[in-house]
Amino acid sequence: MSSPRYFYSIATSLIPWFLVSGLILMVAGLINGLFYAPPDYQQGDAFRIIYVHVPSAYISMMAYSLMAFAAFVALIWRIKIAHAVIVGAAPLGAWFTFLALLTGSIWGRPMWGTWWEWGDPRLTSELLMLFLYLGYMALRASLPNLAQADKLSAILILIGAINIPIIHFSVEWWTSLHQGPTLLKAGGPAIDSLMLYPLLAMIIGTTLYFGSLLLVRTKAEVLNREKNSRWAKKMLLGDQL
Amino acid sequence: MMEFFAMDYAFYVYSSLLAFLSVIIICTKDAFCHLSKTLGHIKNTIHQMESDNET
Repeated sequence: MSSPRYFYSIATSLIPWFLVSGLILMVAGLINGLFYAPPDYQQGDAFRIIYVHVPSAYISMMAYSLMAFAAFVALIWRIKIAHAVIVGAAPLGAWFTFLALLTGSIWGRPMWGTWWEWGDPRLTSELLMLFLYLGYMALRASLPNLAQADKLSAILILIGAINIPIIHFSVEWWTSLHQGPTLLKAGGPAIDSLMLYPLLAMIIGTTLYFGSLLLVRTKAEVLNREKNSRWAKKMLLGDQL
Repeated sequence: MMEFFAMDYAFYVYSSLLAFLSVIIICTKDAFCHLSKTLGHIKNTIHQMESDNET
């Protein structure tokens, strides 16, 4: 899988499967979550925002964790694909982090009576992650030398990875407006199955969707890096070569 | 089944849904356009290099 040529061919065959199955699960999760799941006994119908907020927040953290893992692999084993994965994941992670912040803010207004609270550790650590994504992309764009951009941006990603456990445990370590964990808590999920299954469908569907777009973006980056290789020229020009 | 606008906090729920769908559309379009542009750019570069070599 670390061979760019092999990765390109596997990614091309996986993309439609990931994209279609992800979209089907997302549509099923949204319809069931918005129209068939019962209202929450405290939050009423406003709880339905979790069907878009939780998958977005999950993807924002998962994408950064994946980038941190890829940065570690790239720095230690110097695997070229790992840098391409980081480049592919960053804009997607930034969009989903922005979406998690936006939907969280929309949820906060009716539930907490405010769109934003600067003193809340979950909100501010998630905002910090958006700045890490943007900082990573700005750093890459500012460095014309590819090897230097790869190395320095991977280091930045690894330093920023300290924020991942802070985001996750912030609601347990400090006083927060944000509710505690619902799915990943001791004793199993604290949510009724009628609400849980659409949420799981949304989380799995969004992950598959993210996977498909990550492969599309990584393919583009791999091709850009391998444009002078024989396999890339042969694949692009076909019989002309 | 719930009526489309009958739910409490409909404005907040549908604003979130709209934001989610917008990001899904933007990310999908952006990713495929980026791949397509990269492919086109590299093909042009290769053709240009070949024609330069011939001349």
